[in-house]
Amino acid sequence: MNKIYRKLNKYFSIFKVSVMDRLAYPLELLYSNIFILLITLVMSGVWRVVYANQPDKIISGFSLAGMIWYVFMTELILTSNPSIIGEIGEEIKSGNVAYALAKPYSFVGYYFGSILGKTFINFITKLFVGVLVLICFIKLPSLNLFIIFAVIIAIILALVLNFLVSATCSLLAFWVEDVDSMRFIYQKILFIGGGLLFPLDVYPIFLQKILHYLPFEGILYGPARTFVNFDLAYWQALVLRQTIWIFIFIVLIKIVYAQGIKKVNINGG
Amino acid sequence: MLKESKKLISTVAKNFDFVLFYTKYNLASAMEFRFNFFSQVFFMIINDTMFLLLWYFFFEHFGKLNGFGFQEMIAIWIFAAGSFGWVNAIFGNANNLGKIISNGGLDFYFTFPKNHLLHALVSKTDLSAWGDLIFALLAFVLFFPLTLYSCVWLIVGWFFSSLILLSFYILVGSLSFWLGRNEVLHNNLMHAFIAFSSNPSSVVQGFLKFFIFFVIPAGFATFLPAELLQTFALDKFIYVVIFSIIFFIITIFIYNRGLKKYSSGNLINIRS
Repeated sequence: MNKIYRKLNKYFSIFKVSVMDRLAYPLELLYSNIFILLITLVMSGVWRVVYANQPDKIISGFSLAGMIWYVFMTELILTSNPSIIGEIGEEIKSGNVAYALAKPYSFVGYYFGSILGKTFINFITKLFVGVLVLICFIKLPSLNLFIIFAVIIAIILALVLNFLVSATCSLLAFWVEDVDSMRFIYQKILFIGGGLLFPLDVYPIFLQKILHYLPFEGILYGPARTFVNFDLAYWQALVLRQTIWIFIFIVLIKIVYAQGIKKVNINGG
Repeated sequence: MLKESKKLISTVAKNFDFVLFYTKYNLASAMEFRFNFFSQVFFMIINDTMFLLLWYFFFEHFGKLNGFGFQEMIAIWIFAAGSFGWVNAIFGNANNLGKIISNGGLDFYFTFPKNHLLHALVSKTDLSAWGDLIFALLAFVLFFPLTLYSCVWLIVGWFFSSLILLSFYILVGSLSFWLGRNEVLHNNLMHAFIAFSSNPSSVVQGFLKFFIFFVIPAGFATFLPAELLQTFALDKFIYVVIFSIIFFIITIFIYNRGLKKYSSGNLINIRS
């Protein structure tokens, strides 16, 4: 037990350093809210026009206010989580990954602690500013303590899952020279598969069925839907799927990293 | 007067040659790593196509928004991706201008006889931007009739749309003269420009319309050129031309004001 604690404590220390680093530039934190507010504003304009033409004012179970909160939540999850594909890819490409071999922590684990630290601060700031602005115009979805707890769990699992999928993509840098393109593609797959701008219910049925079996729903759509339209059965299924995907990607990362690291040549110096 | 006009034309021609030389040089340099270049171009085309696909599903489900449908969305993307492609392929350092200024990196360009801002902007190409450019061209050829008007407007519209985007890059980069390191603000403003210029224009009303046209001028860069691609309207054409020229002049004025506050670094640059 003590061993596990010591092991986790290392990554928690990296998390703390990352949090402090993010807090060192408060003005930057403030600027980082600009985009999420603007894109929510644009998308709320899109949805206002769509809802004006809907006789029952409900689309796939979402009211107009619910839809705006949905967009805000998906953008919040996405923009809080800095992409690591380029960063890890560069470390591998430049050979800096070799330094990690001599360090008493895992290469991917280090980035996990570091990214979650940044994500944590980004998320709290954007949530605070975003909610403060949005509640001036639209009503908050009905929440109670249990729903808030359920949403927090779904969001934490979503952020972890997003990190793991991104890390898996970035580890391909052991074989592919340029992983930047992969970052674009993963982002767009997440936009579509995760339902960034529109809920998955907008897509054709066949596509919805396919996306249901992929991890992206658990990263954006699932947590946002839980926040806006809480449904206990959906939440339980969501958490289960997120957990399964997390385990799958942990195993995948271990395999890919173990294979990839064999390709690193260390020349000294 | 005649002498001054000749001088101006000669300066423009020389600078044009200079930009052309650098573009060729940057492309030749990118071709040294052919696979990397082509993979970035290919993936950017896929990337843009997927974004358009997202809107295709949306319009299939909900139909047109105030008369704005998938065809109109493609027109917007022809100018959004096209201008982004042109600017970042030719002036690939535009996105790094703020960083160059805050690092004292302009010193390097001061030592050359060419205009230092132009030199800084053209000295790099963004490989994936060529993918945006090809995507925009493909979207135009596949979805729009190839008439004389549409082809001419595509080129003219791309020019003015790119001028606005380039001016915005310079304006945002110039903030570094006053704010120093400001990557987060820079990224947020540029993302906002891209996001605004690639969304349906018909939903933009009231304050948001003012904001999208005059604060983050994506409206002039993509909405109006896209509308002009479908039907010519003299008033819209004049708005685009006048705004892009005035915005460029104001941007250069602000850049020059900021330049007075620029402090050199002791950064040594060696270019291989």
